[in-house]
Amino acid sequence: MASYLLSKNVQCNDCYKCLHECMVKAIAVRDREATILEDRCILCGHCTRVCPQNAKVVVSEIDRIQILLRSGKKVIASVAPSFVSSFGISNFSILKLALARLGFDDAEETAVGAEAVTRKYRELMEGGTYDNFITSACPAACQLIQKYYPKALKYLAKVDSPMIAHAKMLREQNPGAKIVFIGPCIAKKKEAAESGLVSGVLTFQELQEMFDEKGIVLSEIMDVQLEPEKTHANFAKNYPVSRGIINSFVQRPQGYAYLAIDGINRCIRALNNIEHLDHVFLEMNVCKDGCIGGPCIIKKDGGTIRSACEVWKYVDEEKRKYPVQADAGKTSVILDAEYPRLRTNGRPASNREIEEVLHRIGKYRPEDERNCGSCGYSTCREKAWAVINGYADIDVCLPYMRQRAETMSYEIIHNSPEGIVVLNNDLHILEINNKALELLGIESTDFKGRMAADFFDPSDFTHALKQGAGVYETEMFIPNTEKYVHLTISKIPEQHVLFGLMKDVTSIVNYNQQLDAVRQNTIRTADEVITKQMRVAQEIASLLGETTAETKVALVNLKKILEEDKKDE
Amino acid sequence: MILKVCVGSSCHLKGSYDVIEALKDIIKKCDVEDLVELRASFCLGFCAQGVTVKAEGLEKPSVETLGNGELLLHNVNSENIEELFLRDIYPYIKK
Repeated sequence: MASYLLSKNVQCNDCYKCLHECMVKAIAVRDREATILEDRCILCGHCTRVCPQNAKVVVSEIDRIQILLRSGKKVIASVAPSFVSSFGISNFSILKLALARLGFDDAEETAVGAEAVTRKYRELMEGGTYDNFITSACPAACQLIQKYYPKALKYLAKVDSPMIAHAKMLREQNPGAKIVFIGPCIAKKKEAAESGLVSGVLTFQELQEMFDEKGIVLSEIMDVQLEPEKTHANFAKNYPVSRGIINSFVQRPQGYAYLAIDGINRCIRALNNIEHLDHVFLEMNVCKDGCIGGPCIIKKDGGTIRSACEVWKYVDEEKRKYPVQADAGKTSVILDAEYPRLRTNGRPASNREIEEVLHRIGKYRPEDERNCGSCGYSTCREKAWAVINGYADIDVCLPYMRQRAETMSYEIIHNSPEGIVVLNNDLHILEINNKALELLGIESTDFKGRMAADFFDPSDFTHALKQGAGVYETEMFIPNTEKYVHLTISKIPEQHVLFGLMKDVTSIVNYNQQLDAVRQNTIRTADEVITKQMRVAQEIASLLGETTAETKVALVNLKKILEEDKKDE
Repeated sequence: MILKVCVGSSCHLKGSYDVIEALKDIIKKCDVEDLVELRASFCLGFCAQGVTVKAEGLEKPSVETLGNGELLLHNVNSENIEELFLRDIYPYIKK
């Protein structure tokens, strides 16, 4: 299957905007990469506008068309009437000249086909087989019904879209010619390719690119009237605005209430209630404000309101110039179309499967399903369905991720083996963990937001604040608990916060003190030993001296006696 | 696609009536009323394997039990039929 809308391979930045925008949830975001599910996509192209990375791109047909234009075959352009607002011109001849310069052999407004479509609608409505009538001009609306609202299929007009109708008419008039449709729509590309009648589709943006490349400036082209004189006013030029199809009837068939449903949300709402409607004519446009709000319009100041005014003016001009013809849009070509039911690949999920997924993302009770929509799905159950079908990652759930992040950091802070104190610059307490409470001896649980001075001496924090940048380290004694702590304070300027980390050093301080005491003791003992030894030595010396003197006296006396005895003999 | 629920005496006793009622709801809920024809069938010959449901005309059956686009589900009850239908039948209904 050919692709019409692609998601470029860029890293998705988790905004889920495309998924929000996609009402049929045809986008899978897995491993931070969004892909378009072609089986589900209705090619409304609304995702192309919201992607901040511009990752959703329309597959360009410029190259193919250029080859076709050079091939020598007769190529006729069928231009959607919304060209009036996109190119800011109200004379089709200007565009025709510009297209001729690109190599187109002829160009005609698709409104010619639309006129025949309106006529066919009228015939079917007057035939009385339609209980409700849904227009089939918007290919995205047709796809929406074919894929998602099989019950509404019987109300969908079995009529070709204006593009196909016009292509059939042009081919009948110009056998062998190739038709290129030019419009503001992506879904038309698929419709054209599948019809086999239209050789290619250029969006207005692509056409502008081709003009720019060739240096064609529409405002510089002469404002001449080249169109053949018309026999009547073509009311179908109304088509691109909301209520345009309704206004394209010169005379509306009786018995129907005429409603214009534009924007995919309104379409879905109407289709959900289709069974309760009776004889309602629903002009369905998936784009808000009709084709003039299409995804590939050339944006102008004034938006779709101005665009609508321009189209109305264009139609008014036509009505003023030419007579009204009640029986307009007669054609010999057959405009019957079949819109078969289409099936998508996904499947609904059972209640049990959904609940299993919800349990895995922490949703156990109905009130846990917050349906916040931040994952891109409108309800938690829809998200669970996407997970079951493999379209979404299970853990992309904001409340779940937040809860998980919060519990993790809370646990880490409160179970840290070191004390953590967080103060703001006015020294109010922001956070104190369990260890810090124990170290500081704080028993109160009501401390958050109060002055730190009420609980402990914050002078170190004041110093740290005054010190300016950098880390402030200090030792601190807490008299309350007789604890010594090593305090490291760092400033987090962007948060205006002081972050204090307390390491309990009481045991180290105590050990040092004990070691000191032992040392003192040893010195004292050594001193005592020295003094005692000295005293003993001195005592021994004095005793030895005394006895030696006494011995000397005794021996001298003994010598004297012996000498006297010798003389007497 | 035809979905046949066995209403033989064994299956009837085991609650095939409830299965039919449940299937009616599921088919309606899934918007495939136009694609699935629900029928009751006489004994399919699997009396010992609980209520039996036979699907005919599937695109490609997920569990190739009979080939040629047929699938047999056994031990079906009103509780598990939704999941069996969504998983094994719904994705393979011909377009």
